[in-house]
Amino acid sequence: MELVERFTRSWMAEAADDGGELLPSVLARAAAAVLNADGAGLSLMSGPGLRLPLGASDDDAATAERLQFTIGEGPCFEAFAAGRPVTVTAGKLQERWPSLAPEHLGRTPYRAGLSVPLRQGAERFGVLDLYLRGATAPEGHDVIAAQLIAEVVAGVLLETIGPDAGEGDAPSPGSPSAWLDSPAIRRRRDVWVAVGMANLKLHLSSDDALATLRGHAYASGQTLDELAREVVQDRFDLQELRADAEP
Amino acid sequence: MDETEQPQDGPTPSPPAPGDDPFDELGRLLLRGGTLEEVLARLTQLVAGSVRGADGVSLTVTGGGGARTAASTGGLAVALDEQQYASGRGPCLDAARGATVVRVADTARDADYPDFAAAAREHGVRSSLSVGLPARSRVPGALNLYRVDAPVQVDAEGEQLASLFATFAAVALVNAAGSGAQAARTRYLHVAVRNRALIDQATGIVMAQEGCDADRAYDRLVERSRSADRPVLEVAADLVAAVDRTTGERPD
Repeated sequence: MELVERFTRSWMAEAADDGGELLPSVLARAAAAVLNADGAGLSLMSGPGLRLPLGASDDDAATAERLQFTIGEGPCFEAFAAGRPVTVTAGKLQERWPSLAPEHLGRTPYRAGLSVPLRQGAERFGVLDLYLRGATAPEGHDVIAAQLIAEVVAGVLLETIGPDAGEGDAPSPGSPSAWLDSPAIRRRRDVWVAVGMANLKLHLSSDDALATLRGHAYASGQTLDELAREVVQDRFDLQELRADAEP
Repeated sequence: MDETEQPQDGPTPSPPAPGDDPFDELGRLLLRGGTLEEVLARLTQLVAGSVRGADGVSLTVTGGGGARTAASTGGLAVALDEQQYASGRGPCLDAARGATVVRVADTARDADYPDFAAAAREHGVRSSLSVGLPARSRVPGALNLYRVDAPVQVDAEGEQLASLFATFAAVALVNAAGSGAQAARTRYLHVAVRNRALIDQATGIVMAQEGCDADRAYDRLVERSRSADRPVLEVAADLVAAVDRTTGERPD
């Protein structure tokens, strides 16, 4: 329990003296610190196309999340789908997720990692991603420790939601109405707006529209969030994707 | 523990392992993530195995939609509980209501609960003890011990043990109620993610339909919802569903 106590002290101290940083990022940083990881991210998930970046310990961790969401696969998706921790090394990344590997290895400093589902009972609602600069993936005791911290993180997030989430008073940094409306989440929401535009302009079903946008983002070296923003701001013409979208 | 004190009702519960504290066992079961049903079922078995004269054991919960038996060692205890629920009167109901201990020392002579006493005698039950769950736990209920062979209730030590078990049952019930709230919050998060995505996607559809920007498109969604007198979310969901219908299934 010493680990949990250190974690709790750590995030509470940071949450107390910080000028309004959102709770999930504070939790991500505290998780990285107690678990000796170089970065950590928290995401909320409700399916392969529905993922919100809740918080990240730093920009590199945020980038790692965006790259995975761009490709649409990776350890984070697998941890959520399978409901168990997924460890990763550079080798495994290349073997298992060949599209993601060069992006992740080329654009972030991380070489290994561990993704753990956030859950309440049997119900999963997100993922804690831990990123390491070293080559070795966590194993054994470290994986168990990460699961323990993920459990505490899940409890803190759910506790914060409170009985009357989403309504009423002005959001405080600790409240879910604030952390469900963070800049990172607003950027992510452009993806769904872009999907709606592609639905109509390219006459594509939602799944195909998302896949087409993902494909183009990947091919053009952008994150899906970046491409979506250009689409929504009318700086990218979806008609250019007509060829990509042909069956 | 006297081996002759095995309950005569239902499957024989395994007594606590020698030298093992039944409360330790329950604690481990809770920590292992045992369900409320598992924990309470094991709890009634452990009461039967640890308290002399507990031939049938049940846990009555009276909150919410009336009294029900949350766990029991078998048919005898359930039958006597249900006689009380049906008649609206009985020692377990009074114990639950008052968070007190209610004893029926001899069903052959009891004047307080004549109907319950008669039903108990029919089942061969000579005495009973109902321990109300502690009032501070705010979960009204009672742990019931029914004794078959003797008109004398469990001894003071047994009663103390039964009270400890009752407290444990209350803790398990309170924890489960808390995790019910957590489950509701988990659903809230899923809904929050899905609803945002739906409204965003519908906004994109309107942008493409009307060649406007996102703010204007959202305003149009709100106008449509107002004139149709339907929530924005429903209007958005309909738009997305319509587009997915017309774009059809994927060719693969």
